[in-house]
Amino acid sequence: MEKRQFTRFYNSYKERIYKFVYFRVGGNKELAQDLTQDIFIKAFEAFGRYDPAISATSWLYTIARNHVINFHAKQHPGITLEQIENSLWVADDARERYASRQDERAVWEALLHLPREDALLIRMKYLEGWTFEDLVEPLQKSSGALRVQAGRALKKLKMQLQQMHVQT
Amino acid sequence: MRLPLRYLLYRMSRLASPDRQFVRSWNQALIKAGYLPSPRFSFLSIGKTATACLGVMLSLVGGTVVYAYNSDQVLPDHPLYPVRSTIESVHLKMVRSSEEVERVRLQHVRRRMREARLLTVHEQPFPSSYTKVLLEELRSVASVSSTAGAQDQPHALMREILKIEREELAEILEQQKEVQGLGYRKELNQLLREQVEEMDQHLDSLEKRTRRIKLLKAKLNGFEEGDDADE
Repeated sequence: MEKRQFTRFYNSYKERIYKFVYFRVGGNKELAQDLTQDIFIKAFEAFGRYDPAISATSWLYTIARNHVINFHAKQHPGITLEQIENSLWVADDARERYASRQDERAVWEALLHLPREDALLIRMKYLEGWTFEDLVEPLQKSSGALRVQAGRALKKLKMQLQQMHVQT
Repeated sequence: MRLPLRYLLYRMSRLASPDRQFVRSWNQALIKAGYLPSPRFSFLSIGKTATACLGVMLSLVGGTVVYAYNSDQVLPDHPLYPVRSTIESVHLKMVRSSEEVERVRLQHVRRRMREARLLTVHEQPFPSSYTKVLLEELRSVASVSSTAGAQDQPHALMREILKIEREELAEILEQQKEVQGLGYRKELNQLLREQVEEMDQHLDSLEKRTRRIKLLKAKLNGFEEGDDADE
């Protein structure tokens, strides 16, 4: 692929990849910046071998996911991405970085109580900015099914928030 | 106040966005490393911006001109009034045939009358020298229509219109006298006196011309009678 095509590709995905990394490094901006740069450099070097039959989103998502796991695995060998995400959600200082207001922190708390698939979908769609079409391959579902699941997940999240509001 | 859930999620997403400074320096680093092409400075991009700016300016100017020409808010004391006067003078210069010139002048007179009516309705005094402009425009059209024959239909219509306008002008001037007071009465009397003097001079010159024509005719008749007698 040419440099011009990579430029377009880079401009479309840079913010999404940055947010993907940001939510997996506890909201550490400097770390997120470094890792994102590394991911795009890897992507550019591998661009010559990229097979257009594979979706570009899926390809880039795989590079980003593997890079983040490798980074954490150096510090905690054997760790999985699921463990990374769950542990970081629990960390108090990460929550401070993810949410600046009380109601935003409540949303993070409520997300913890949702089923893992629903929480992942809400995070990737509404926080990281992926489209339903982008998420088809990573989540192994059709875009129609993802839309329905997202609607139900948001309702569950709202109910969870109402329960938490009642309890407090 | 509890914010909608989607809006909260949007805010949290914005919080996670990269800093602009970082994105800029990141882009530059990638360009230096050769991963991205350096941005091209093209005349096309300047052209697009310049065309867009030109389009916006033309729309603003065009809109202002149309407003200045058509709006009843633009009266002789309005800052945009000179725009209207300029458009009218340009319009008059562009017109070729004498009939068109008369039609345009009549249009201008009617517009002046409308302005005068609006000023009077709002009890606003005429700006200085506006009365003179009003009377002169009326007179310029009146002189053209008066020289045409009684059978000339368009001019007959023009004369009727002017008659109505003159009557209304007299009423408006009376109301202006009340609004503006003694100073304006003196000014108006002075203007009317000047107009009467001009008309007198015009009549004198017409009389002289008529006398000269009669003399010439008499001489011509005399020559013809002399020829007949000789024969």
